[in-house]
Amino acid sequence: MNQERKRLDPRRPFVLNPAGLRRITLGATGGFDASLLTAPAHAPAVKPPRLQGDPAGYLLVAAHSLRGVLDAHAHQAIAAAALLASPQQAVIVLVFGGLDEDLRAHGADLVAVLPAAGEQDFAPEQELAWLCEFVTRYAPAHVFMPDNEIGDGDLGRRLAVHLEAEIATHVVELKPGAVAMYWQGGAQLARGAMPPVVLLAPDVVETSLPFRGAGETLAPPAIQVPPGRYQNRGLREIAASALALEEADFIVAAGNGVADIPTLEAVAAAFGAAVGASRVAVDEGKFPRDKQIGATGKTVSASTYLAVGISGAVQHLQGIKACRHVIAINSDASAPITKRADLSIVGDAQEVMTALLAELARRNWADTARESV
Amino acid sequence: MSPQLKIAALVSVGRNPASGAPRAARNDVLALDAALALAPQVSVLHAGDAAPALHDYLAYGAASVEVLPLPPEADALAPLAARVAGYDLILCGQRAEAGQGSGTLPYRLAKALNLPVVSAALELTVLGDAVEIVQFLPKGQRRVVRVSLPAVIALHPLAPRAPRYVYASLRAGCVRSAPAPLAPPSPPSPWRSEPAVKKPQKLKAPETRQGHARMLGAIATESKGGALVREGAAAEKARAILDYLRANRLIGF
Amino acid sequence: MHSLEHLVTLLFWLAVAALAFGTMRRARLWRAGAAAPFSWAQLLTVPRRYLVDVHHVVARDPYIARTHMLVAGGAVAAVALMALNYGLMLYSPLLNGAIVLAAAVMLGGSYLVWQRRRAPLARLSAGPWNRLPYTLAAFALGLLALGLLPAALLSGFFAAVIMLALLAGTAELVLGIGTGGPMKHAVAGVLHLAFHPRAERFAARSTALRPLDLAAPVLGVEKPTDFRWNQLLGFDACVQCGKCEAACPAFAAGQPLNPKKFIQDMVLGLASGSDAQFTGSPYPGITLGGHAGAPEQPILPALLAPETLWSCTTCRACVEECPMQIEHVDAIIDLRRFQTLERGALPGKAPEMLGNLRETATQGGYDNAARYHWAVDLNLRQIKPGESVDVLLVAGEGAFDMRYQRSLRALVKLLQAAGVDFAILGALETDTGDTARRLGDEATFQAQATRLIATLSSVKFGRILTADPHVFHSLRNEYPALGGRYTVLHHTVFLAGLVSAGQLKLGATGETRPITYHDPCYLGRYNGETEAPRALLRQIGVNLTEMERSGLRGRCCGGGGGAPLTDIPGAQRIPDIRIADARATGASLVAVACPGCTAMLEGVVGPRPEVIDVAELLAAALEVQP
Repeated sequence: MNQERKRLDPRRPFVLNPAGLRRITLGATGGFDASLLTAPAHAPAVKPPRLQGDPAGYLLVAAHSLRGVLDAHAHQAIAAAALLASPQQAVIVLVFGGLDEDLRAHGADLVAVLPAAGEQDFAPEQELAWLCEFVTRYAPAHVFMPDNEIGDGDLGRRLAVHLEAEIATHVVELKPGAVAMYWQGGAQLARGAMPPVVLLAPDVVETSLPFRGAGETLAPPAIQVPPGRYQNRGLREIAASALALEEADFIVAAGNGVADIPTLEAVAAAFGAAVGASRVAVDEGKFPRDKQIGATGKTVSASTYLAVGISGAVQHLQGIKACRHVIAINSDASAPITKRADLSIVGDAQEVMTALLAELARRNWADTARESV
Repeated sequence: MSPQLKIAALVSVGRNPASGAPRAARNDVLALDAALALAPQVSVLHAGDAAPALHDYLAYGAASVEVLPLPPEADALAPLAARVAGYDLILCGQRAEAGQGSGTLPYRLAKALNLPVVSAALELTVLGDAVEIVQFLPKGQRRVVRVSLPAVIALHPLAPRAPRYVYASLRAGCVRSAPAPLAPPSPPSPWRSEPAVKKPQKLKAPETRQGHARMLGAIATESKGGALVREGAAAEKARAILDYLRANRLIGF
Repeated sequence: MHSLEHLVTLLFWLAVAALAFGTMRRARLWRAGAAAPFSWAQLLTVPRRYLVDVHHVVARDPYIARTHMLVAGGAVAAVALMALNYGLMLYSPLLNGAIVLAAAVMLGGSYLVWQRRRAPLARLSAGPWNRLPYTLAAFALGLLALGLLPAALLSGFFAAVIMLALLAGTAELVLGIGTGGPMKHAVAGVLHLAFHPRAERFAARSTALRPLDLAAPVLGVEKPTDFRWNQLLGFDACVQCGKCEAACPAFAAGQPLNPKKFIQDMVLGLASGSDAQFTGSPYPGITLGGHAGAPEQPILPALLAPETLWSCTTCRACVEECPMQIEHVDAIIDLRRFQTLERGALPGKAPEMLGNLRETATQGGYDNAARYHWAVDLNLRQIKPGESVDVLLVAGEGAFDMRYQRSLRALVKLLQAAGVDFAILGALETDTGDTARRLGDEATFQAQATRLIATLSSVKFGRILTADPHVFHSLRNEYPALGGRYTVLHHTVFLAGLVSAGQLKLGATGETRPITYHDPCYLGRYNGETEAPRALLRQIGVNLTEMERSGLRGRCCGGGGGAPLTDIPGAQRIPDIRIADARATGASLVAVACPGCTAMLEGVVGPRPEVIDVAELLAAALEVQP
């Protein structure tokens, strides 16, 4: 009875369907379809509108845009307002800076854009005046803002203090009429009725909505205040390579498997990423000690972490716990990092890095060509 | 550095995140350190109890810490505003480690004193009767802002300072407490707090899927934690990386 | 003839005067130091300390032991006889014969010195030290000529030549102390032995740091005169033999530390000068000539770079090797105390660790309640205040390290197999503060010690057992000065006791691969415990080979003294060197007995011998027992 048994390959090729499920097609060669990894941002079916009839009240969301788009954190604030609004309450979104995106899917009913607010200028008096004009005009039940460091956290606090209104900051839980936030550095959770000004911590709202907003354009506030006590003296950009790792949003990190440091640095430069390293690479003298990531080095919280030739010792994984997207390039498919990584490329680090550089150069050229048409 | 500058550093009692032990709040230590870099004489003020942890500020360079006693739960604003009126620069940390940590005190103080307030300060330079502040913005951006003195400035936790803990200066300094409570008790707080044991719940749209779809969703393998690209040429693998980055909007090209 | 003898008498007394004058001048420099107990009677201890303690160290190198015995013995005998014969103007031919004999011995020794200096070892200093064989030989030859040549020849030209040779030799011998020449060591060395700053070491192994009075006007040493005077005297005793340099792990790794240069820099500080004239090996990576000091000037950074101070692993290999019994590590800690307590100037992650200790009583900033998570499923008894137990197990910081938890669990298994009545402190345990003390933070150390002593006083126990040599050392040797007196045992010693008492029965190990044992500094050198772990390993029948540096002379893993925190870069890492030592024996396994050593040696990448705690090996032997 020595029959040849077919064994199932647990790592059999699969594709992900739009709902995030694995789909295994027998006989298919498998592969990776990145388009399927994205959340279905615009489902083809048109969702029903949320707002019923003429608005009888308002919720106000205010946020700063960057390069014409609001970030995920701001989208969450809008979604929060839309989810909490009654069918008769309209969600007004006041955008400081330009806006090139459609906020309907995020739940915005009325959108006012202030391109005059320089996206990264510091003009708290003018912005506060605009915000107050809207608050006076629409008397929103609540003002929602993302508690971020690009101006909304600052403006929200100024608003509450100006209005002498109750405020909840770093809000981590929202329920109709109630909020919760951490006290004592996270040891206590404080609950209370939803105050007029609500500043949201990131990722406390699910942004996929079963409805859509009306998305009508609203005339922005027009009040102008004379130049005040704050003078802008310009922006400075710190080169990604000089950026402290704790602050970096994109990190390319090298491990034992990287022999060619200049190529790695070129990849990092192409992505505008900071360079980090595993303990082993630092010990070998390839990188200074302040580049070390891990339990004995730095703890990082970049959105993107590209680990090149890093096997992923426990101590290293401890240091990248807070990274949102981890991509690994490693020659060993069984290395611990592949269990942590959202995308693992099995292959020679040098070859993949070189290919990546070539691909990036080609894309930049293609982009330039398209723009010049 | 102008010698006649009157600088106040507002400090609070912090809390070690692991043990909960009281300590000098890291962010306030940065404020104190920045203040000491601007003037040799700094008034270091704390509204609240004369807690032992305040001695840590002596170690970080304060010659003395002046305590403005407060009844428990009372609002620190009024006594602080009265005490720092007339100062050129009032520095503090952006957000407290203990207590509510809402980060609104600098704003309220500035309003009470009718002063400009700048938050997220990394570095400050006094230029005559103005102060220039390098402000933190995410992703390696920095903004330079100038305000005229007097001003309230809140230091960002990433301010590039290296305060030193010196036992000898802890030994030499003292914590002084003003005699009587200076503020009336405030009205009861509208907040109820409880030990944070449960994870906060995300706000999401009510579930509308039918039972079968819900079950499929519940038993499906989470797609995170492991697309594996093993086959293909290096160029294909490179494209897979770029596709992933684009799909998740991690790169702008 | 008469005139020449009288001339020698005159020379003798002039030399005595020069020696006395020079010694007084030098003594003025030493006395600028801080107060220390003093009594002339201490001079009586010199012969014993010299013949027993110094000889014990010197005898490790038989060549130099023989050389020094001949040169110094011959010279001392010759000078003593000259004092009689010429000093007292006896001019006896019999005594002259004895002088000739002594001089011949000295000449033989000088030849050996010359031989040694023809191809000098890297650790030796050149410069004035290179002229020593010639001046010593000149002295011996002069005496030989004086005693052997017929009277007829002792006039005119020959007399002049003899006198010149004697003069040169005498100058070397007596002017050294006043001018800081090589022969300074003879006077300073004898006085150093008499007034040694750590006199306890001559009675028994003494390695505990002395507590610092936290109310003292200045904490630690800022300038040379802040050292106690007998420490300054000790620096002056250095013969620049470089034994410390050859033993120093930081020097071997190319970190900017050389204990010999460090002591010489302290000499520069007490006597004022620049290091441009130094003729030994510099601090790796720091060129000579850039540093200078003076008695009243801060030592850092003008005389000593901070990186040098923070490279030391406090392994005491230098102290163990020093024939002059100089206490390098005490001086390093004194300097660190000032930098830490008065300046707060610590490099790397050290300030963070000290903050963690103050706030969480753990080095890593952990929740102290997690200290016994490793034992949560073992059903161990956690002692509560007021209870009593025979053996109290103190785990130390290693308890938070997932790797070391394996060793601890192996130890628990052995204790249970032997039926030991033991308990753990549970979440009551706090850090001993040992690492803070090595980093010079005496305030944090004393606070931690006070806290732990209070905890230990709340429970009753017979003995403390620990697997961490650093915990072992501080509880056993350093807590008594703060009022905590306990019987403390390292797990290897305790287990060896159980085995020899028949309480713990071990079978033979299944381990056939060759094993070498790495001595933790704080167990071996600091506490002299080198035999127990080896006895245990022999007991289970492993194939034990020794590394070249082992036992009391073992090489540090690089983990001591807070060095992993200060993390001063070098050409290579100390643990890499230590693993190379192990590899050289052909061992496939390195047995260890310390969480620090385990972590450091396991951190070495690439193919290397497996690192395993003695307790784990024993626990495995327990299993194969029928």
